[in-house]
Amino acid sequence: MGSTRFAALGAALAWVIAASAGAQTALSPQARGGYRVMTALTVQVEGAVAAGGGVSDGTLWAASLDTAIRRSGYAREVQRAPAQDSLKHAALEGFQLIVEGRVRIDGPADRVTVDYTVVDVLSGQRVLSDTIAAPLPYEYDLGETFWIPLIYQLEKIVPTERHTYVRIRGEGGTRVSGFGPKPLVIPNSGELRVEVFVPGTYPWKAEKWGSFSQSGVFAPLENDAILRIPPAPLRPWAVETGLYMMQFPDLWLQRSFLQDHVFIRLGLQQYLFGFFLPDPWANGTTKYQGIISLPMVEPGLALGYQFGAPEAFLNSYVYGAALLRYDLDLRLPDPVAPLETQGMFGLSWRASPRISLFAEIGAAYYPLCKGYLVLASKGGTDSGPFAFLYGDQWFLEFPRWRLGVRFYL
Amino acid sequence: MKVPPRGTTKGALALGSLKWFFLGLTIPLILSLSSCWHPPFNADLSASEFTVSKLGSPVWAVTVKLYSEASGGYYLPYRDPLQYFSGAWVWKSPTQIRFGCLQITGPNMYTFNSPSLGFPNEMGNAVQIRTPMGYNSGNYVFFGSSGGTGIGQYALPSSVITTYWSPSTLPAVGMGMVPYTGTYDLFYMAYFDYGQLNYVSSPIDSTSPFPPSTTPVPFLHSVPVPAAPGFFAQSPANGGFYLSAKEANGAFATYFWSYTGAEPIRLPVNVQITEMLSDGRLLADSSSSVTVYSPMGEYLFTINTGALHFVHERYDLVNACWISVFTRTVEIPQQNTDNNQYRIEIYEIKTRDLQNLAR
Repeated sequence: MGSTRFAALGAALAWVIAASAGAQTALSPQARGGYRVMTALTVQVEGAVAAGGGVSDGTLWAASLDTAIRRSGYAREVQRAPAQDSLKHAALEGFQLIVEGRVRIDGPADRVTVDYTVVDVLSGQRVLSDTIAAPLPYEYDLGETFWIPLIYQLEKIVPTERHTYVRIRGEGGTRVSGFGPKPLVIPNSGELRVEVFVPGTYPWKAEKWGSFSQSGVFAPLENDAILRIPPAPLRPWAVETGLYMMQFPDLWLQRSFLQDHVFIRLGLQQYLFGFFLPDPWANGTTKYQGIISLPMVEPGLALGYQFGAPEAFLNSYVYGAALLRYDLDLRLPDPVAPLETQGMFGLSWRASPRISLFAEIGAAYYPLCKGYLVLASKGGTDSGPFAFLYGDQWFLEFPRWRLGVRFYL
Repeated sequence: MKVPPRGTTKGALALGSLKWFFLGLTIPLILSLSSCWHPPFNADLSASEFTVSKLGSPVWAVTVKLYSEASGGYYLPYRDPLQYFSGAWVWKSPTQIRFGCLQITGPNMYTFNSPSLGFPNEMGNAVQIRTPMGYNSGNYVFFGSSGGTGIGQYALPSSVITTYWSPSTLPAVGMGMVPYTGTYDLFYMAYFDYGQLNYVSSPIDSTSPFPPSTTPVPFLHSVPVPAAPGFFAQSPANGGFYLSAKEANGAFATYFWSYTGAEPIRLPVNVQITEMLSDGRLLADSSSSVTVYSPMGEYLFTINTGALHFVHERYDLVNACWISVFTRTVEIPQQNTDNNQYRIEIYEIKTRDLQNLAR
C-alpha cells in the first residue's frame, strides 16, 4: 500500500539523518506522554429501557468512553471524531488511532452490546475488533468499569508512527520547550535538529532573556520541516503619555530592566493645561470652566515593578514616584508643598508589541508641608471625588488615577 | 523540501481589529470621565507662603470655624496690636467691597456678622480700606470708594452704619489714606470742580468726627482727567502730591507735583499705585504681589503676596519705628459642611526692612 511505502521511506530517511546529524535531539515515545486518539461512538436503543434502569443516553456513553481512554494514560489527547471522513481528519490533525464503537441497547432485556474497532490512522488498517456484551450498566459502572476490556486491549496496541527530524531555527540561546521532557537550547549556529514523530502536533514555547516569550503549535507532516522562531527582542525604552486624574496630560520616558519586570520612569506632570468639569451648580469657588491652567509643573522620577511577563496580554504593576512641585510663577519649588510622592497600582493592556494602554490608581502623599495649606490649596472639598488626611507636616489624598498610552520604541 | 510549520505562532501580543474597537471606546470614555478634581495647588497661597517664610512666625494667629458666609473674605485687624483679636472681615473684588466683623472672644468663641450689602468698587486695587489708628469700643473701618464719590465709614463691630462723605458732588479722581503720625492717618481726595483740580485732606483716627471738616486746595497745573478714580495722596516724607490712575487709553499714569503750584511730572510707573508708606515710598498692590517704588517712581523691589495682604502700617512707640502689617486668611475646606475653618495670621515687619521680603 502507498501509505505503508511512504512510512517506510520516511523511517529510512529518518535513520539516515539520525546517523549523520550533529546538533540534533532524539525523542522517545514515552516522552510524548501518550498517543492522540479519536473516538466515534453510535448508540442505538431498541425497545424501552425500564425506568430506573441502565444508561441509554448516547451522550453519556460517548463521554464515558473518552474519559476511560483519557484516564488510562495511554492517550495524551482524546478528541471526538467528526461525523464524516474521520480517518482523513485524524491523519491531518496528527492522531494515531481511531476508536470506533457501535452500542446497541436492548431495553426490554436490559442488556447492551458494543462492537468496537480500533483503526491505525497512518496505515489505515483495523488493528483491533471486538465486542462487549453485558447487562445494561448504570451510570457508575459505565464510568468506572464498563470499558475496562477495551482499555486492556487498547494499551497493547502500538500505532504506526514515523520518525523524522525537524529543524528549529532561532536566535542562539533560545530555550525551546515542547519537544521533549526538557527544554532544548538553540546553539549559536541558530539551528537545532529535533527528532519528532509524525504526524504529530507539538505545542511549543520559546524563551530567551531579553526577548518576548513566544509560543505556538508545530505540526510537521514531512521530513525536514522547519520551525522558525523569529527574533522578538524586548523593547526596554518606552514613551508614555497619560491623563492624570483624566484631566492633565503628562509625558514620561520609561526604561525597563530585568526582563521588563523593573522599570524607571522620568517625566513631567503638568498643570498648565487640563480639563476641568466640576459640577456647574456647585457653590464655592468651583465654576464650570472646561479648561484649567495652573502655573505648576512636576518633574518626577518613578521606580516600579511589573508582575507579569512582558508579552502578557494584561499585566499589573506597582510603582512609587517622587515629583518636585515647581511653581512657575515663583520659579521655585512650591513653598507650600515642594514634594509629592505617589504610590500607584496599574493595569496595562498590551494592544500590540508597540502599544499598550494602561490605567492606574493610587494615592498621593505630600511630605514636608503644612497640611492645612495643601488642603486649602484645593479650593474646596467639592472639587472632585477624593478623600484626604493631613497633619501638621503632611497631606495624603486618594484616590488618584491615571489613564494613558505607552509607546514602545 | 521545506514544509512550513502548520499552525500559527500564537502571537500573545496579537489582538486583531478588536483593539481599534476598544481604543475607540476608551477615548470617549476618558473625555466623559474627566473629573472636577482640583490639584492641591493655589498660586496665591504659594506666593504668600514664600513671603511668610521670610516674615517668620505670626505675631497673632487663630483658627476658627465660621459660617459659610465668610467664604472668600479676609481678616483686617484693628491697628492696635492689643486689639488684634477683633477687626473687619473684608470681601474685596475688582468690582465690589463688602465688610463684616469678627471678634474672637475666647477659645472657639467669636462673634461674626456678614451683612449682604456691598458697595461698588470703581477703584479696583486702589480702593482704600483702613481700620483707624487708636481704638475705642465703637470702632469702624474707613473705605475710600463707594463709587468714587468719597469716603465711607463702616461701624464695627455690630452697629451696621454706613456714612458717606464727599467735599464735592463731582466724582473723585483719586483717594488715599496715608499714615502721618503714630496717632492718625491723613485722608486725601482729589476731584475736578469745573475743570479745576482740587484736593482736600483730613486726619482720621478712631475718634475722628465724621464727616471731617476740610477746605479745598487748588492745583495750579492740572493733568488729563483719568478714566477711573485712582490713588491720590500727599507724601508725609517729601510733601509732594501723587495721582496714579487709569487714563483714557487704558494705561496707568502716575503724576507728581512737588507742591500745588508746580508743574506735574509723569513718573516712570506704568502700574496702579495703591498705597503710600510712611517713608514716602509708593506701593503697587496687584493682588498677587506688591511692588515698591521710590518716591520718584524708580522700581525698588517686589514682594510676593498672593493670599497675604498688606493692610496698613502702625507706629511702634517702644522701638520708635513704623511697622508694616500683613494678614493672611486661609480657608480650610471641611468635608460635608460649608462651614469651613479659617486660619487667620497676622505678620509684622519693620517698614524699613521691607526689602528683606523681596523675591
